[in-house]
Amino acid sequence: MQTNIIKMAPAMLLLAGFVACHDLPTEPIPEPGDLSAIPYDPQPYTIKKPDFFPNVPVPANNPMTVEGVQLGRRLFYDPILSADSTMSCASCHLPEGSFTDNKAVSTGIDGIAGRRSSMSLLNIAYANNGLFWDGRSATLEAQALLPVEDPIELHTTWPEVIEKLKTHPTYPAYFRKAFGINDRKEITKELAGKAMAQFERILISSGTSKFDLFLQTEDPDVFDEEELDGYLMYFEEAWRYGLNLPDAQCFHCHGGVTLTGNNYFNNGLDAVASLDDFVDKGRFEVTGNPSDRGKFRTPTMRNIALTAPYMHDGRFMTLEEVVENYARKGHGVANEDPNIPLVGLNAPNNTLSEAHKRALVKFLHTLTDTTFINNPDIQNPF
Amino acid sequence: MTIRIFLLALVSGLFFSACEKNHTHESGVPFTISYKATYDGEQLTKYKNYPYGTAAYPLQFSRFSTYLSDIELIKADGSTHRLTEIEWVEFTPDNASTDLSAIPAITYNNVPEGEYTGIRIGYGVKPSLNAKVPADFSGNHPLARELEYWSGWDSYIFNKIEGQGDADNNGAFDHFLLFHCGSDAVYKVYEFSLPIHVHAGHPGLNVTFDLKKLFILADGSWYDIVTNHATSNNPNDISVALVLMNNFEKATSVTQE
Repeated sequence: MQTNIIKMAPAMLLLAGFVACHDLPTEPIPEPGDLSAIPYDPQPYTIKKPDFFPNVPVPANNPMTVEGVQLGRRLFYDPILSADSTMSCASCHLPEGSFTDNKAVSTGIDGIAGRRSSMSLLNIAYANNGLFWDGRSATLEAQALLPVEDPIELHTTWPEVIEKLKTHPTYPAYFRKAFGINDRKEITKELAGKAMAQFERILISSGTSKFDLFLQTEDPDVFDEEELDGYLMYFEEAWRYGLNLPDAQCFHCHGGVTLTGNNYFNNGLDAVASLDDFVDKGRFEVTGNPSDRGKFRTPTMRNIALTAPYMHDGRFMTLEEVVENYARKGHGVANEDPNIPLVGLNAPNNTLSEAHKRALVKFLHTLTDTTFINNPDIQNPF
Repeated sequence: MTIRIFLLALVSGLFFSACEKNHTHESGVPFTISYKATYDGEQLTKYKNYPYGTAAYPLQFSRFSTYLSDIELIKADGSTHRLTEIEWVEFTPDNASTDLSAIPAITYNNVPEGEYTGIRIGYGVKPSLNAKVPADFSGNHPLARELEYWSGWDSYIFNKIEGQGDADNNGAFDHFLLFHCGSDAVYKVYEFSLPIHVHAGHPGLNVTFDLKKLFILADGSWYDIVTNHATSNNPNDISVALVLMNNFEKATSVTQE
């Protein structure tokens, strides 16, 4: 027996070398699952971002690696994460929709419609005040785990998913390369969550939208006249150009370079008699604070033209409808953000005109970043 | 032999002097400031009715946050110890389970023990930092907060005071407040004199901002927040912001138990 093993050694070494030399091993890994023959040499991953974007926050316990991103990308697009292997994260977060599904509300594997629209994942790495519309997850690592077990989403369990990953022909090697596990038994949901979080952290704007060109050059000629008017109303900067334009109050909630402040607001959608009457209680479901009823996290305005329909429940099909709704200045509900009734401030009758609304929509289209959605690094690898 | 003794003494001397240096460094103690928001002495609660003006019409607050710069303890000889260069204090956080305002207690480490005669606080973001933008910072740095910056002003929003009032007492809270102060021109530094004891185990400071006092003018009258319901979007028009920033001095109280 010993002699046989010695005779087999060269073949085993050859096999080990073969596995090691291939970045994407496709050969089944023999039981009992020892992965130590596969090299573990994770390479740091440098997140590409525009120079004028802040550094991407990366938690110390989940450093970015090429191998981690590669694994996360596969998991993100792989329907192996659903009970019947029909849906993946990407089913509701498609690149062409700026990582939304362009549906009013998302539907899971059982055909059951959820109650909220999928949020864009663009620049999600900068979200530092909770994830999902209600902020119920604190980190990308934690967030990535929830849809798997949600009965109206991927509707499976992590033990089932982990079993599928352990017996999969290639995933054990990917986990080895990303996290240095020695045995497929060491695959955990936490490692899967870390990998998917790494992939999501690379979903950063390219910095090539018309708006970005303006940010970099400060040349108003980047915009046409209507787009510039829309920009000045959005950011309340008409005074810079000596123009008499109203304040649309947009940037108070959709501000900064990512055009989301990661805060929670009642943006004046519903005319409820009392805060108890909100159909979807939003942030309240997390905090339990009565005044948080009907508040939701602000989505990014970047690529907003690609993410219709709009609002947490997808009630508006077009940007025109969205702007029209804000122009109505809310309903005076107790916890409405005080910026809402001030939309149109300084316009005649403090009300946005049709021309103003048209200009705002035109400006919102300058936020479209097609380079991002076509970035080959973030497409489906299968 | 003499040389050996000399070297031994030298090494020992270096060793103990090094220890002494470390000891000096470690003599600083943690020192905590608890920041509080009140209205007429009562802890601020979001959406609670507070009487405003001579008519005592109901006023509610929904948001209060502020930047503070160069918080320094002052010694009798005029020397100072800076506790922090910049702080963002949020009294109405998004993650609160109640509307009662938060009392952020921030601990500053390695504060030299001793007796101090006062504290100096910069209200807002000091000009050298206000020249920067959120993208210059990352992570949880106070100045990385995108919603606290107004590109139209080229300035951080020094503080936010938001709410709504029922100025005509008709049951509808339709008079909105939106005070976002900013720009270098309204940055203020105020000193508060009081004996401050910094010793291990000794209580820290309470720094309290009373919102009612922000709206009482020098002549004792109430600020007209119906007419002046928002800070201007034009950074050259700082009249409303100045009223509030000037009043922060008398609206602030500093105590130590």
